[in-house]
Amino acid sequence: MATLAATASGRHHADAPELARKQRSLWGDAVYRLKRNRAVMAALAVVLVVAVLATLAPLIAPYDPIRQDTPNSLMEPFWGNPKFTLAQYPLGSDQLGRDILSRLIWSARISLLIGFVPVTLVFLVGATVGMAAGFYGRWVDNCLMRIVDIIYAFPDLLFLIIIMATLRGTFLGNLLGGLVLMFGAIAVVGWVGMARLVRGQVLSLREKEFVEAARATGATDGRIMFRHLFPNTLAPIIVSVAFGVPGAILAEATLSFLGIGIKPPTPTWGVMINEGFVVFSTTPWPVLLPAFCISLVMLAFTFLGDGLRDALDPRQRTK
Amino acid sequence: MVNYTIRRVLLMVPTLFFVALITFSLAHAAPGGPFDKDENKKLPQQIEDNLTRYYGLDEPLPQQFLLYLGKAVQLDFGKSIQRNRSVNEIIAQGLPVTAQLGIQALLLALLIALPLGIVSALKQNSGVDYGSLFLATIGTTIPSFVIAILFIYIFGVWLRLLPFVGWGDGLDFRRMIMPTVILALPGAAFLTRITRASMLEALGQDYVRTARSKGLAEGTVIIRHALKNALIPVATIVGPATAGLITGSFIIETLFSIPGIGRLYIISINARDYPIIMATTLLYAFLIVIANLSVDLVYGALDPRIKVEA
Amino acid sequence: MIRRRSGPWSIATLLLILGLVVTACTSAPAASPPAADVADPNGELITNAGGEPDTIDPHKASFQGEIAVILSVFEGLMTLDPATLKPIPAAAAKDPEVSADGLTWKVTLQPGLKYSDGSALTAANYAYGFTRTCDPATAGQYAFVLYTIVGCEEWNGMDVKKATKAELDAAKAKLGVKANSVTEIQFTLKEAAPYFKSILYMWVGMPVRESDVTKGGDKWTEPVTYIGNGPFKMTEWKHSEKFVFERNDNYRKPAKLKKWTRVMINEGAVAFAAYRNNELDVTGVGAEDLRTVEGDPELKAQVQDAGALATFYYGFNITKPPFDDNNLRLAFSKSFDRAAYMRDVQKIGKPAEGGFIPPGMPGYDATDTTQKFDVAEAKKLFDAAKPASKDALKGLKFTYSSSARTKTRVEWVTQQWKTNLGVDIALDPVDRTAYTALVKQAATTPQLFSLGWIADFPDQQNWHTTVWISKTGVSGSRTGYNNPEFDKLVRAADKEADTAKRDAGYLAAGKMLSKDAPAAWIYYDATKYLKKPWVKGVVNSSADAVLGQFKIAEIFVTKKG
Repeated sequence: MATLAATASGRHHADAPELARKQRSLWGDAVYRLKRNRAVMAALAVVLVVAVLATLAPLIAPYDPIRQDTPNSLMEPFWGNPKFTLAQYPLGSDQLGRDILSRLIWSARISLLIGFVPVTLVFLVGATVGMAAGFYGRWVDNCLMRIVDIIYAFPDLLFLIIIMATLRGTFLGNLLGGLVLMFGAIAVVGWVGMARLVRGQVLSLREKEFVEAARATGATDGRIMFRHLFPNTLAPIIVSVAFGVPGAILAEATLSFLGIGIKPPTPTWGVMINEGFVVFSTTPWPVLLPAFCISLVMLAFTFLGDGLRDALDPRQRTK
Repeated sequence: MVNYTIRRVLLMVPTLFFVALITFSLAHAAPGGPFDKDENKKLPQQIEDNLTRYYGLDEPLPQQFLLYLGKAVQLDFGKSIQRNRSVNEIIAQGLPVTAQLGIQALLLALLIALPLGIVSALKQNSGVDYGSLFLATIGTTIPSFVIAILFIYIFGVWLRLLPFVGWGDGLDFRRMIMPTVILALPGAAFLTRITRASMLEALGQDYVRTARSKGLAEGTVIIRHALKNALIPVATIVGPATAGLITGSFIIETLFSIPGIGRLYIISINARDYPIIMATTLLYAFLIVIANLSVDLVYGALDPRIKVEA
Repeated sequence: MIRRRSGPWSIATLLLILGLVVTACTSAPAASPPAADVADPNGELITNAGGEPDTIDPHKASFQGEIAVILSVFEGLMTLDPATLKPIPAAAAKDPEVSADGLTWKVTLQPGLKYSDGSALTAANYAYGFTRTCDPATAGQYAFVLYTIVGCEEWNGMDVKKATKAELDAAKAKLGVKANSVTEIQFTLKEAAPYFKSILYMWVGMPVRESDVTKGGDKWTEPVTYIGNGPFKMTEWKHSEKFVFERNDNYRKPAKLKKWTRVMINEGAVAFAAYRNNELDVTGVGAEDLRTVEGDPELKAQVQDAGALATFYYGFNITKPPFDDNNLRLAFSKSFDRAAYMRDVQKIGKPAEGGFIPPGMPGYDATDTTQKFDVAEAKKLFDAAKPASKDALKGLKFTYSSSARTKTRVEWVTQQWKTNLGVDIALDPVDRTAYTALVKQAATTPQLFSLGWIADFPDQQNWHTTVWISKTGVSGSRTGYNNPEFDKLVRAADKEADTAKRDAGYLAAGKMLSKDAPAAWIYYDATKYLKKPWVKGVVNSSADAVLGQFKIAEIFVTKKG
């Protein structure tokens, strides 16, 4: 798939002396390539649908997601229920008689929030730290990178587990039903990767001619970082952010499955699997449906990430 | 190179110190203590005092931390509060199981990924290529706990083909199949993508074209020229992949009732078993630091273009 | 290095793995109907031990899973009759001889008792067991049940780090436990305590051998030194994976099972699946599984019902408003429909329509209906409450240990209070460990919370006195319950030798407790489990920590096919 032309344009962008024009062509190229990528378009459609469902959840969901109807617990979905009428739960009910469809829809909200909020934090913190470390070098770099090393030494999931399990019972863990802590935990674990990435980029760009040129014209450090270095590191950052979204969704689902994620009654797909798991060997739907949703959304974001990488970094497009 | 290695090894000391400090602080920040196991049973104060003294939790926290470090340097990780046994012994029993599971899964992942990645690079857009893409996508997008639940449901409950409880003596293949395969899947998926990509890149390089134009046999070209270079990025990924495997086993061990340290870890955190939490975290961190270091060194050794920063 | 693996070798390995999968598929176990009703002399039973027990040291243990192991391997002086739960002799030859003042107890052992390794078991071994529990250095969680023995509380309360060895030895010397001869052990109690007979069945007095503890140190609970006198011996403990018990041929009347494996599955859902996959012979049934179980004729026939000595209740913190008002507490107690709760939410167990002590226990009082569901009466009480108390209901929170299950339960009852009394209550979920720490004392106890009591031994003393006596009672201290009259009643009953008078005393105390309502009784727990048809001879009791505990030697399996 790696055409010679694409490779050439990639090379060209690193060497191009004129920043502005190269920028435009890179982004223009990227959008063009994204539009032609059918997988990306399909993934985008999925994400949009999920986003719309999540936004309009209060209007669309047929029931209150936490309303219990214990006499009607564990109803089969409509295809397993020959006597199904519209007045019933279309996708069945869980063991507390809650409507699975409504819970799935409301869960999409949490999943999207979990997908985007921590990634934003990761981007802000990671990019700033990476930029500072790479640009100033010396002791700034040394200090920041030692911190990065420490967090890097924790396996991601283990660090998430420690943070969530220990701080859940504290004040912090109770904000927004554990959502705030979850955002924080994913961000704390994730920013180091971003910081390393940006630092690496800045290190390789720092000595380039256009930076020298900017410096010669008397540009301030801040200006050089944000006007010159930052735009040039944006492509890998975007790719990294795009992969951060499914990563965060997966992290939430995993932690909630372990029972240390978002607190009930807030429905999330992970929480639904955790709760449904109790009955899975006899009634699999309460597990299978949210599992399907997670997988679909993960798939969509992974395709988007792949597509973005192919589009923004043509040299790597075959991955 | 030697200097660099020594410097990196020395840097491990402060890193592990802070890992210990962070873990200790977090573990103690959690509300409730190791004796608050059952809300329905309230221990008389003097009995709780006896327990607190028995496990040395009556000392001030900073002192406990220093005492812990002092012993940990001598590789004595104390006594589990929950299990009333030496932490070293508990870990010595769990680690081989986790390690066996992890290594099996890593080997399986490589066995799947390398051939699949290479073949799909050689036969782009063929059935094999799409098949491997499918596998790679499934492996990365379906969370492994979901796959585990599905496997238990399909092979255990429904078809009654495979047992899913326990580990046995580590030689019971039927018991090991499900956990190993599930643990291997994400790694296999990831490695397949990397292998395919770097193989494609290698095939497009000038030296491969040169080799071809020299009239060398296609097999020789692929194996001696392309593959050799294509495997460099793969080799560097194996380290982090190993780390991923260890942590991936948290859930697999819990679901399949495997007596490894992953399952132990989750139980210990909930039980506020400080010594186990500390020891396991330090062990994991140590493994990760070593893995990261060896990746950097291997990278430097394999690819002469990369200069290891002095 | 990596390259070499990617050639034909890898294909061979793939084939090998495929081969394994295929073999695995062909050697699948098949469920077949059991043969005749005859014990298989080599029968093996496989059950779930839950998770890895924290300890199986009889003098430290406190959880059911731990006690299950201890009671399989050791035998106490007394045991319980599974039907009546009255203490009956086990290793003891007959009932204890109690002096007229009730203070001196002498227990004679059966002749010829042996440990599983064939060595003799003497009264000194039992004396060591009780002594070790009282020892503060053991740090046993259940030492408090022996505080009625002279000197136990004092010795156990000493700070082993500060006290000198001489002081500790002196305290130990005062302990009222000694072996009078090879077959007689004598206890000296602080006060008359008829319930001590039930305590003699407990794990705290198991005859662990001192030589085993000394030899094994912290690891004495490993099979080599974990030598007992019970129906089974532990032959393997694969940590976090399984226990293997085998018949102890030196036991008075050898068990019918040859082998009993107990695997450790933490996840209830996995255990249930494993049962269906024939990997387990017995498994517990949760409320969530009931629907499936009852819809499946095969499973339904395998359901077993056993009691459980447990009562669950909503606790009130009566030291501060609003629940310092008795009318309000009673109004809350009478305004939720226990029968509906059991039917719709809890599903397993019985609504608490009597007092605090559950049915099946000596002291159950069906006539104690003070807290009976009665909305009209509840409203009257509510109206009679002080205006200040009613004001304090604003912002009332229900604090509970959070999980999907507790959540439903709490939500259900707050809804009832909203409907029947018009009180809005916010939910306040807290992590389990944090919750446990919170409900330790009245100072930190939430206004409204949820707890349960599971009996240590089946006697009213362990319910009314242990739980509700003021200041030190398990829940007396947490709710701040303090009624001198109640204290007087139970303390008198504790010491009363005449069974009829004693029972009457506790009944009166129980009625008083329900009226004072430091807590609202919700339900009496029960156990449901599934048992494969080839498992026979199980005698259930409501005090079981392990399957068929009090007739454990009688369990057998028929040939599985």
